[in-house]
Amino acid sequence: MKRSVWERFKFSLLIILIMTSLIQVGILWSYQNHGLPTYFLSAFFQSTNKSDYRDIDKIKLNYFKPYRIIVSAGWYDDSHWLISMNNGIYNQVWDEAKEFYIKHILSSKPTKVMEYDEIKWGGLVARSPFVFEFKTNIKSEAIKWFLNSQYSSDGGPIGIHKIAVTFSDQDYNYSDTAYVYDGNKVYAYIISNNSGLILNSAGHEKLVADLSQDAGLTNYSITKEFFPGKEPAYLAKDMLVVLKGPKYREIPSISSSIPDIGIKESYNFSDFEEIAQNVLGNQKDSYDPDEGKYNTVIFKKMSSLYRIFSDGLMEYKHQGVLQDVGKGSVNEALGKAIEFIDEKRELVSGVNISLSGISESTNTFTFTFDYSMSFDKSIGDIPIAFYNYGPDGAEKVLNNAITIEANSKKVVKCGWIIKKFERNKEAYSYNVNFEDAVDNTFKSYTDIKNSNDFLISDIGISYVIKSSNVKKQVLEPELIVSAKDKNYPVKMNSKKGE
Amino acid sequence: MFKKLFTIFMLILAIVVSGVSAFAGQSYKKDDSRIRETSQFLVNITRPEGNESTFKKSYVICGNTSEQGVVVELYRFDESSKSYEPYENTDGESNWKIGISGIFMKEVQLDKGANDIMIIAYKESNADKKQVNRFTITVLDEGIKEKIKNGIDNIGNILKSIFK
Repeated sequence: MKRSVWERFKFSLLIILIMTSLIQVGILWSYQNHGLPTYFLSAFFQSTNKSDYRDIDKIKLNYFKPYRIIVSAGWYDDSHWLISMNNGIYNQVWDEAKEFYIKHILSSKPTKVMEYDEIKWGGLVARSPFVFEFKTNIKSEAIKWFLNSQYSSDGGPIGIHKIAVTFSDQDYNYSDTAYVYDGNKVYAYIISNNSGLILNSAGHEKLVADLSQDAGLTNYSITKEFFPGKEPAYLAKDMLVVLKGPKYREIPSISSSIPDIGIKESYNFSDFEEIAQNVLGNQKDSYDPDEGKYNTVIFKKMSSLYRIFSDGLMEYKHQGVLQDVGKGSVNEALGKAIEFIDEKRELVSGVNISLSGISESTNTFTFTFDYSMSFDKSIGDIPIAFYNYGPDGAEKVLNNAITIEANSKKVVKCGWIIKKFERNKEAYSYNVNFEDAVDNTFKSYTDIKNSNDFLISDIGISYVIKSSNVKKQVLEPELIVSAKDKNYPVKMNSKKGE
Repeated sequence: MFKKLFTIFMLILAIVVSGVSAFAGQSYKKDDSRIRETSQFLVNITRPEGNESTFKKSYVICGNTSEQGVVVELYRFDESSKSYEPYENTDGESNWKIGISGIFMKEVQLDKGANDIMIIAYKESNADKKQVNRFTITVLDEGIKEKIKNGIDNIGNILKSIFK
């Protein structure tokens, strides 16, 4: 009798244990891949071709590229040319800049630190043989990470926004000199290990000789060359502008459409598979698909959620509890952001993706990335800008192609406008003249002229997507006038059919 | 009745046309009292800043104003007629009204050697009060530029070898 009670007790305990283990497996299962719980065995039989394995050291440099590389004859009021990303010279010059200039800048003490003077900087840009411009001030710590370089913060810049390179600089005993603007001060570095490069006097001379012969290249000027003093106060003095040559230039239109990832007007369960495969790849089995509000597809697991809108907007959100570990270092967070993008890089094609902004809040860093399209050398790179983009139900309005919030451990949020871009055959002539551009800006935004602190820091050609409601749209080039904290799209006068 | 209307129309037309052509498109002798040089009270001419030398024939004349309704006329001294003649920019304009931005930037093609340029500016509403400024822009030989560049490079190389 006693034995029978003991056996019953053991049996009940066993049942309880089996049930709790099932619950436990259920909990864990929701975090892991669905399917048979044998995935650990795959580690033993995995092929060497790991499609979702990413070597961050190799991929990160694809996103660290200057928005502009300007080559100039090196004389005040002489020719300035833009080198587009698909020109072989771009990579050659940029590789040399990273290896022989930026690494030196990050690891050495500056020869001189100067207060930023807008007029002096404009003059420097006008006479510098090479100028590198990033869309944003990229922190030195992040650049160090990009270049796997040593970084001494001892008196150096907090970041790099622009670099102007001069050869035989009279201010520094005729040495070759790099000036770094970090958004606050200017740091001068003497460069001495640049012999045999394009980024030295002889290499530059040869490059200028080639570029001068190329009639197809647009000849730019720098605003300081025409407005040497403070007036007009609303114009930055280091802007690259078109003043010489024909006002009207042929620029193609492009088409923007919903990417071929399986997005439809309405869904049944089998439709989710295609989107899941495209967006989530090997992770697709970890997520439960569902149809959400505003014609969205939702992929959900306990710790994260994706929402795919019918116009191509993809929102990602980490849903788990964020441990209070702080945001960590900017380079680790940037690494997480770049890994996230690179996993899904194939969702967009035909465009370059470059880092365009870094900001930080208490718990996260926010990184923005933007698209640009490369055309032949006479047109160069044209950015694709998003202006107050947000379909119904979107978490927030976006002004960049990709906005990622991340900390050193994970990507917390992402808004990514996934589009398919194609160059159209039609190309019309558009007025690119700077004077007309400024006039059109003031005509389009009548209130800005009365603002005392209005400052145009850049005027460039972009394709602008403002509406998310159109499935396919033809984008004509527009001007983007960049002021302090805002961009102003301005229509360009065109000669259609010519 | 028709004759009266026609006369009034012709009168209005004559007044309008005479107003427009009062300053544009005419020639001035060097000693013409109407083109006595003035200060830059209306338009700040930023290029040329004074008498200048350049290596390029393509040159951009610039200025800015805070006033609205300002007209700018451009002239160049012509040796054959011994007078300032209207000088067209690369858009084929020798006079233009400054736009809402208050700036103008006009490309011209200079001749080699000295180019005697005259800029006249006035408000549309007060065409009698004119700003007149004259500049000489000299286009130098590209060879001089090379010599200067070589000179700088040589000094640089000498100094670099000293500091090595």
